[in-house]
Amino acid sequence: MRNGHGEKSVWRKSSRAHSLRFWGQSSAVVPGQIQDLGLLATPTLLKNVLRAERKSFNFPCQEVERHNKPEVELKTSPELLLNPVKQADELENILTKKFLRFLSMRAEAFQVLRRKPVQGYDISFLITNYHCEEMQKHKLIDFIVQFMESAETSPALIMNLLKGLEKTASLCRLLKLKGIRTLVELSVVILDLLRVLLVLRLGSRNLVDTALKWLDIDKEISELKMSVNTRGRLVATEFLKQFV
Amino acid sequence: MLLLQSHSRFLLEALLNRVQNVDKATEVDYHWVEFDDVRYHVQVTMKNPHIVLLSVSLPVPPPETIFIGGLPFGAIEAIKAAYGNVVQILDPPRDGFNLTLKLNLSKLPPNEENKHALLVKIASVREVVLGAPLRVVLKHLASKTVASDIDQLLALVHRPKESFFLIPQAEKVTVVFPMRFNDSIDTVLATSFLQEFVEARRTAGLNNAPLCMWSSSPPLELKGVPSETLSANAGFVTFVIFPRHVEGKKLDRTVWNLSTFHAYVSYHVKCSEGFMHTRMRRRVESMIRTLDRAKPDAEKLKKSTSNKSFKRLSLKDLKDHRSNSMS
Repeated sequence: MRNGHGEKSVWRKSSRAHSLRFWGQSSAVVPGQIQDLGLLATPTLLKNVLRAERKSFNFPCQEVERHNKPEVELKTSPELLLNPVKQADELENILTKKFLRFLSMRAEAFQVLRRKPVQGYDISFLITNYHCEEMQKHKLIDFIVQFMESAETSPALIMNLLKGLEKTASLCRLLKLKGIRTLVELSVVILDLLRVLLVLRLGSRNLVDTALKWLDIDKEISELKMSVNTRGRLVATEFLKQFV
Repeated sequence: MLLLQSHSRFLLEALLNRVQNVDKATEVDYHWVEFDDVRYHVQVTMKNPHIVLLSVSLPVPPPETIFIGGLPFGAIEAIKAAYGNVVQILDPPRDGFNLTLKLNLSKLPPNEENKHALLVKIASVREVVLGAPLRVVLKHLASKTVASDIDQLLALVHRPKESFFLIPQAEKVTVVFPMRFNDSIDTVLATSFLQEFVEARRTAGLNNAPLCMWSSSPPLELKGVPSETLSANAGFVTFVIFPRHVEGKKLDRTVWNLSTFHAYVSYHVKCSEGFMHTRMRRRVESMIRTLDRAKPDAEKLKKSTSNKSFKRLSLKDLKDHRSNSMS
């Protein structure tokens, strides 16, 4: 039995159905106009979010009873990772490395940060059900709006964040610092994000909010790089002025 | 303070202090290191309060440089020319130092201005001694000649066990600095700084500045140099100095700037790192604050829920009570 959207009617009973339905609708939007997409997506999303009322998505271990472990770490699900888009130069690398080292050294304060990133990545987060329970759960809508506004976000990062959530209910956010190059890319990310957010439901908006703040690392690093370059220029100019 | 001053500030202060209190006999014994390569020692004894012993230890010279009696060539002449009879060179110098100068404060010029100028010059002993060979070459450039006894390619002390190279010609002197840094982060920052030198040179205001080049491999000028002295992890910087850069008073400044090029770059690299750290620290703090906002205020939550339940209960009770009484 299929309804007008081509879904099996049985899907509607599961929470997963909402996400699938929404995905179906949104992908009809032509990518390229982010703002339109934002306007269109937000109310739809809100509706869906309101419909999906369940708050918790605890995911106990399937193999061992009374166990609850970060499934992402145990790699029961394949990781879906993208290759970096941006070709960073040496200075950027060093700034990133330095900054991330700074953060890892303060991992205690961040709780959700892995002291050691997953191999092949600059930084990893491990957000477990424990964190979701401990931290406040809020409305999603603010987050979506905020996300729409921050165009300078990293696609793979969000995808990984959310794919991890979707698959295992614990969230491992693997981030490889990247920049969005095309609008198409961005809209794909947004669609993907919205889809997965529905699975996320009302869970831990503030956690995601925090994660979003991390997206700014990219911006921060490019700013740092710029200031280093400016300083270099100033130093060089002053030196050369001595000879004139 | 963007540029490095040619005099050692501490040395100048110590000397001024001595000159002002020349009658008061005190014991002075200072040791310090500057730019991570030159070590100073100042000593004044109770017996002779007007005599200051200034010892300088220079960076260990690489084998390709010319050192005569522990000093770069031309240094003795430069000292004598700069300080006159106020300073006497002790031979041999103190143990562990390359040079010991005996300063007689009673022989300083009586004129305050001249006295201060001479003290500043003494405090710039680094420039006088280490910059001596460079000064000789650049002086010849100013008169557009090449000293007959000088090789085509000259190695001068740059850093401990490292040298930089001069290619003296009649109309120009090419200076090549192999840049080395110990720390990998320093190296990257310095490389980007050095490339900025090339960029900065292209701006309109600096058309008359020396030509500046940067390359990751040794430039062609250094063809005959043994390869072990050419391992530079931050590339090679080349300046081309023309006679207009060394005419008159510019000579001193050029000598100083070239002979402390590494210290200058390294100083600014360290400053940049300091700036970065401050900024990152601030950033991390703001991130922690954001995360903290995600945590519910435990106490507040408890309070509000207990209030709620109390109210609800009481209302319900009231209703129940009413309905009970009604029925």
